[in-house]
Amino acid sequence: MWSYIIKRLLGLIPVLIGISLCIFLVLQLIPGDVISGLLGIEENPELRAQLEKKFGLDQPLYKQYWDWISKAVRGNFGRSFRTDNEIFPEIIARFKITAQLTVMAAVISCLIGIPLGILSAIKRNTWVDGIVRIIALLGVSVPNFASATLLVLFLSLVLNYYPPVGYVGFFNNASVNMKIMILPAIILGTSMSGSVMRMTRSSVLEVLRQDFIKTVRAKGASEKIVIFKHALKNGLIPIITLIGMQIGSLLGGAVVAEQIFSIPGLGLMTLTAINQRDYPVVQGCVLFIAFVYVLVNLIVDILYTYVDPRISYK
Amino acid sequence: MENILEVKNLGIDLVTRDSIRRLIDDVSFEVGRKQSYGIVGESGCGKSITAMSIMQLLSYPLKTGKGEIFFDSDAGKVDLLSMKKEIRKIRGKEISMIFQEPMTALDPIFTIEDQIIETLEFHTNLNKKDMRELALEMLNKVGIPRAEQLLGEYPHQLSGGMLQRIMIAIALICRPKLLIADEPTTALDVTIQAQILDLMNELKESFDTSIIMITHDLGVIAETCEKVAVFYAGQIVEETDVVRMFHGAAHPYTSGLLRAVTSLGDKSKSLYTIPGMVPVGGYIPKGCRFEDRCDRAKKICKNNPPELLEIEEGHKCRCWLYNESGDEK
Amino acid sequence: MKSIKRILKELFKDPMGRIGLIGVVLIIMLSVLAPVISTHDITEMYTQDKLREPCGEYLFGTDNYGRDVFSRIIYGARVSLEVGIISVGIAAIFGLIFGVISGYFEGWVDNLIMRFMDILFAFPSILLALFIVSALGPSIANTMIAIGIVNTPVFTRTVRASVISVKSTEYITSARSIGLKPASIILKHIIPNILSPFTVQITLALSGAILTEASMSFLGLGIQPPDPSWGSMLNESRKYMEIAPWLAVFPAVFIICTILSFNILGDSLRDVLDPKLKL
Repeated sequence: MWSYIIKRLLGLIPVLIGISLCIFLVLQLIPGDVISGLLGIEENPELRAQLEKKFGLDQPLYKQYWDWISKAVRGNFGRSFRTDNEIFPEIIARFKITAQLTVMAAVISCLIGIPLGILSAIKRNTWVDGIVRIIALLGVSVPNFASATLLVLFLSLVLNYYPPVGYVGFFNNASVNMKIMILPAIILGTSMSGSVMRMTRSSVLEVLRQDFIKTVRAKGASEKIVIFKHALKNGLIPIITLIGMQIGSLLGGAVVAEQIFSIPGLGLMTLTAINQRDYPVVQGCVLFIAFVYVLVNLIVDILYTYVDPRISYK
Repeated sequence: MENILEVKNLGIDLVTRDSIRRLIDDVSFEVGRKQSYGIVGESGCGKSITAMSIMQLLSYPLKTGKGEIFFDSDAGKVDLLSMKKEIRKIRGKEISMIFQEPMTALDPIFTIEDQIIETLEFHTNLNKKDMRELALEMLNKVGIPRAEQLLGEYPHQLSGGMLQRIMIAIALICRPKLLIADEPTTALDVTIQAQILDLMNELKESFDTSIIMITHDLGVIAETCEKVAVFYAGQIVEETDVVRMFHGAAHPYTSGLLRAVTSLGDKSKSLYTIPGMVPVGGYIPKGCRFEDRCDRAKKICKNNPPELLEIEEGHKCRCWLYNESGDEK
Repeated sequence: MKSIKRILKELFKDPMGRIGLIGVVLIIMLSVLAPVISTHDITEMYTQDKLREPCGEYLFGTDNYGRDVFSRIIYGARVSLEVGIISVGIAAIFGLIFGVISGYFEGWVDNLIMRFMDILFAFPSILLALFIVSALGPSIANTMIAIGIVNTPVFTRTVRASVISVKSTEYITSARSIGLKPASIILKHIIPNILSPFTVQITLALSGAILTEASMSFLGLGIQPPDPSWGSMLNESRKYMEIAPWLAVFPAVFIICTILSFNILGDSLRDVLDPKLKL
């Protein structure tokens, strides 16, 4: 079992190299010159040479890449163009916030999506099924920035409610923290619950079509046992995969949610850096987020082998 | 009750958004105690769904449309089709069923032990240890050598033959009065087939179980059954004991089936097949359903559906060629 | 694969299919007829009429610059569809090429292509789109390129999977055994058989592309002002939400209805083209 995990972790390395290369190369496409952006109107050859040396831009490309990546794996993501602060510690600090948001959203989406999906499957083709499917469709079709904006509009205009301004950490003041985080988590969670609902429904229905369900019924099982003991457990596998993939879109959706609700997470950091053309920060953030996503999917894969005895440790 | 199971005027429908099609029409038969009753017919003739309907295992869009199925249960004579949740007490305990594909008939994420014991969990109050003992005992009875080791394995690790034996173990563990076997050997190799059929015959004797054997293979009928019903296009066209079927079949379809079976040493140049096809797409002919393929069809057959009549003692046939006294018209 | 007429007929029979089809057609008509339907110039600022409520003259009201919201919404449809169609077109073409090569020839080519797609898949899609646009600079063309790149892996995977499953059918094996050249096998036999999942994928990708464009414009990295985009309109509306809620409601409703229509159409299309998948 452990050798399998280690093998999979090692297999991550080429992917990470690929990702980092990709990020590095994309940034080379930037038209114009990073240094000009920093210098502004003042074209000063000395200053330019200094800055070039400082940011290592006078080196050949491959050396630049190697410098960056070899430092990055050791946790040194360099410094911001704008603030000259170290990038990595800030990424970690902000990641904790985004992670909290992501986990809350994922939990909400499962709490809503899985039961409704099962209900939809059991009551297939009845009006209950119809309603759940419409809810799922809305979840998938309403973009989170739209639902967030409308929610804020509704809360302020109709209910006169304004969420607390100014972020507070969970361990500082849990109740205020929850008040701040719960709205974006609900937005992201309900958005994702649409696909969880659909996947649960189709997965459960797919399992119910299998031969062994006949056998279970023929043994005298109640429908509850058929659904919850057999259909759901078997159906969990594609649902887990979906959740893993959705973590990715949650990480992306966090960018929007953090913007709207002013949450100082990793998404907002990335967005701000993009807007400010702070490329070392952009590089670092994107690399980190992609890495987390790949790791999450790996964990999901390993979870598989736990759940499904047919998959052997190769 | 004289018999263990009495099916009376069973009708099974296929319900779609626009229509209701009667697939099985007015089927009646009886299975006696400790009897092996065979149901034989081509694919699509409705034998499987008839079997599934006995324990109300039909699923959407199939539904029982009419009829009664009387069973001599522990609680007396009951109509299985009228039961609601109570039928779960009968399934797996007084009536059991095994299916065609052993490789997919078991839940892939549970061990063999869990799945055998599950039946006991539904119907008994035994403790874990006793259930395990019983499971081991059953596995031995179905001829599995290293039973202890097998309990911890998963279905995908085992062969078709093994799995079918386990299915039989699961089906018989509560000593049911009736076992319904839906093409139990069709998916297995010929040699394994023989073993499984022998096993079933043995167990029938030692457990006093009646068996309904559903198959398209006349050889299986010959090996295991005492009485047999021949299905065609959703109806029984002939019912008799096995010996008479092979040597004195009355219905043209049955004789066609028998002719189509070849045996070793048959030197004929081409294989016999019954010309034509089973009626498809819900099209139900006005007269006899076999008329267009029958080489002895008469004028009356085209527009008048024949009734299932007893043409001699213990021999029923649905054909205009015979009247009640068994003379050819 | 069924003929187009037959597909449309079946689609229309299904109530959901009808809704999806009508919705999509309406959006297309809105964008095509934009110059005819819109009531005002979309960049003209009617400074004396800033932040007016919806009324006779300005059907959806005006924004903080005094621009007519109704006309901007109509042109926003055009922008959304343009970006959607072109970016999905890019992704579909490249996805088709890569997927067919990967699936048909397998071997190291397949490995290489799929590894590359895996790397692209490793990024959350909106992040990747934002990242690409951050490097290339925000503009409508770069938005299309970014969304196109983001959607290419999905198409590649879908096409590849279809090609592999079709390739192993006896039909294709016999075509190869009589010595047909790969190019003709691919063109004449494989591609017609993979059209169903491909078409469904296109419809669903369209809804995703429109959503991504709207998100990107919302964040200021997609369509740049003063060009109208529902996403950026929604973003700009946030400052004035309390005094001019219509500025938020109209873009939101249009975005939601458009994406909804494409999704409903995609679902029904899938049911029609591959009823086996229908549950």
